[in-house]
Amino acid sequence: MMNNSRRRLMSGAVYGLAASNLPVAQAQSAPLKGGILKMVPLPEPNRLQSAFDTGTSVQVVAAKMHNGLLNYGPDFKPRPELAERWVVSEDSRNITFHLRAGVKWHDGEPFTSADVKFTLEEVIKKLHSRGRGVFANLERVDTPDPLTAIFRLSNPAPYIMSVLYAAETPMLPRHVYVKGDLLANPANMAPIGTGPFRFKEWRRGSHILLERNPDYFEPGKPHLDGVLFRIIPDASARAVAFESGEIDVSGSWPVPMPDMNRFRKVSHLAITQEGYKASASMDFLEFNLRDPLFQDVRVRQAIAHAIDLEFIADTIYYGLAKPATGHFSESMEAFYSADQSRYPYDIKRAERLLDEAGRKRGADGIRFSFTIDPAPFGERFVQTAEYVAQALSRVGIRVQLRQQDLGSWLRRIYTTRECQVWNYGVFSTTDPNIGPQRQYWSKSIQDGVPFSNGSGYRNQRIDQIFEAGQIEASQEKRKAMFAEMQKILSRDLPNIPLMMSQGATVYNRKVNGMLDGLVGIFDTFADVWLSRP
Amino acid sequence: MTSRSRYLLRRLWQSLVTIALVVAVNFALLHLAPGDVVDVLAGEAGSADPEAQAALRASLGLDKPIWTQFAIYVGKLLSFDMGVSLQSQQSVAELIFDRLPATLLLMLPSLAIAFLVGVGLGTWSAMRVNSFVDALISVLALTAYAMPLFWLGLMLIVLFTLQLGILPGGGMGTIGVEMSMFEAALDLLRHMVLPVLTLSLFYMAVYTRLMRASMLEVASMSFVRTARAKGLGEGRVIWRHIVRNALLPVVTMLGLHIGAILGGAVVVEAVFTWPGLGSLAFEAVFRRDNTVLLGLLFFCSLVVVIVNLAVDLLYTRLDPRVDLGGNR
Repeated sequence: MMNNSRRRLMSGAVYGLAASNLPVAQAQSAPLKGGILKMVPLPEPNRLQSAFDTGTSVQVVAAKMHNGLLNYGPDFKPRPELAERWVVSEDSRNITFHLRAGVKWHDGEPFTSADVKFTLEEVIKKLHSRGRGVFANLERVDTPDPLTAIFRLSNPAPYIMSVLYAAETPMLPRHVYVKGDLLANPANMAPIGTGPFRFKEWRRGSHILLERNPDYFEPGKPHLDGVLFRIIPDASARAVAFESGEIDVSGSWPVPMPDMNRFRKVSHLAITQEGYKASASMDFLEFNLRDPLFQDVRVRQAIAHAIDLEFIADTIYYGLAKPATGHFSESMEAFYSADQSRYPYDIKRAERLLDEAGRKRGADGIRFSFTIDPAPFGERFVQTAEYVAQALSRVGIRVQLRQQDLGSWLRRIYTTRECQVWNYGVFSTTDPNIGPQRQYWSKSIQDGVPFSNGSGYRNQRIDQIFEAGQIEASQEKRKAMFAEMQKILSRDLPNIPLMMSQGATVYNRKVNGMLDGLVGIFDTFADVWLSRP
Repeated sequence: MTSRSRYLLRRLWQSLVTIALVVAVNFALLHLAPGDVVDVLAGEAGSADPEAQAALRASLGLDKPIWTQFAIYVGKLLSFDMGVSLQSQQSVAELIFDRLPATLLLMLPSLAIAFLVGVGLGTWSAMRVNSFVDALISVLALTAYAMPLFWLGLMLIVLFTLQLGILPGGGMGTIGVEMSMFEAALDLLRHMVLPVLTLSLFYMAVYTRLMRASMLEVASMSFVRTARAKGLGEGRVIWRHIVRNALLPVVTMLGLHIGAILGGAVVVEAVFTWPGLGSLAFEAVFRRDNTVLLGLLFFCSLVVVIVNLAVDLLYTRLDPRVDLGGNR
């Protein structure tokens, strides 16, 4: 359940809403039929199959043609999709899904429990970048009859229940995928799902067109005639297309920050940060703890004190991100704990800590210098690194910036380790055993694995908590354990949490029904409709 | 054997060596870039699993030593198989030929307009050297040449799409609307106007400047004085003697541009969301899709070699003194 302050926080995230009465007024009228919704995926997907290509743009497009067993309300509450009902056993080791009857794949074949079994066992568990971890405890899926699928778990894995939506764990047709090489299956390019929209055409570099699935299992849905994904690689061109009404929706920071800010005054556009809680992203400044410079915790703490998070939030993010208040995102509502060490902006304290750590200013006023590698995820990461360099120069630390493309950056941070400090964003997800485990578990120190424990942080107690959390069924106990973890992390500071930078979606105000669920643009869009001028 | 066919044979042999070298060097260079496609896929997904990554590398053949990978690639190339995209598993040939029409549709009209207008303006400018017209043309050409393409493109969009609302600001056509052949062609033309205008302005500037300089140089040569001395009319001197000779460097430049056509115009394609080869190459670099990139480079080297040959043959038409035997 959400408390009041949380609710207020969220409504504050729909910028410009107060200034306009449009979405609220229209939400009350009945959905209109028809129209083609125009979206932009960033970047153009490689394939349209998010079961084993978990790029966010793939998820956005693929989800419109697929379904999950469940979907979720804005409060994380599971709602029926392909599964009508579900029962979790007493010992949390059996989850029984009763499937909806009469659901058909786009090619007319019936959807059955055999598809569920195939998708989980052969696809998600083997090829999904997060699924291997999330479903590690899933031993098998039993199918006593065509409309019943039972997950058999070796140990409880409560987080499984939070990832069963269409974008993250889409159901695939067994009869299409069972033969031949999964990765080369033509259905990866022209999906056959159960979802509200059917694949129509994909002109590479230009557009992907989906049309309404007239046989969708929910009568009367979808409301739209189709969804058109236009490929617009240039950010300024996207901004123009939004203004001229050529595109209606795009997520994950679709235009440069200054344009975002400008759009607040464009009457037909709105910006929202709803719909990213399932994949809530956090920005960190992370240290390579193998470097002796950063092995003294006082140095890390001093750097934390020298950075003004409010400044980053206001100046670089134009208020579209909030300063982090811990290593877990506040949107990980079930586990976030406020009880932890904090590092308010305090230059004097930073200087004192550095002196104590023996990093005194030299004759030239410089204590030491290092190189920062901002992640190539967008201009804001470079700007944040520039600000960090500026801010640290005030306490006598000289920082050089080094920029590179994605492939080079990942190799440097996670394979060659030729790096000292970097800033990046990472999905904190809904569960500490899915998201943060990758960053802080010592067993996640894996050469060559992007977004693993790059700092090389090791703490026995942290490891114990992660390992206990993987098999603990009681959410109450897990909450307490992870509260302790957040306290330890805030003291150890293997990285400095900078921003809670949930994604931001820009949309035309004529779009309705997009924000009724948990996952926003990642939803199937069966409920989305367009109001007419 | 005539000197022409001897020449062609020699050029063909040289071309094969060139293309082989291009393939080898490209292959080596691309493998110098840190990170591979599996890294980038993980980067776009925001998470990775070591075993799934290893399995993917094995299935793409990226776990093999580079020599083996090279041998496999060349083997395939010899049977005209450019392989499949590492990112999407689509056939590279298919990807390239999918994008080729868009690129040709953008580049050929742009180059044609630029060449005709550029040569015209350059000639006019040279005939009125140091006059007001000459100064005006020079200033315009210099401005067009110096203006960043993306800025020019965006300004045209701001003017014609946002302010006036008369031309579409991107894409190759209106999608999702039923149209007759004629309507579709008109729709395409409307979408072509701004990108073609942007690109042709740039090339036009190049040709104008080159043509003017070349005209002036040729005009001061003694054979022109001779032509005048033997009493030829001014028009004939200009068209038969000066323009024809002055065209040589411009044609060379045009050849270079046509050769580079497949690289597309990355910037213009990005600004106008034009689904051509330039954007394909651009993405392939950042996504470490080496087979696509190698395929593109291979294809480009083929085109460059062929166009160069064609330009050389054209020289002999424009300037009979050029001898294919290589002795001028």
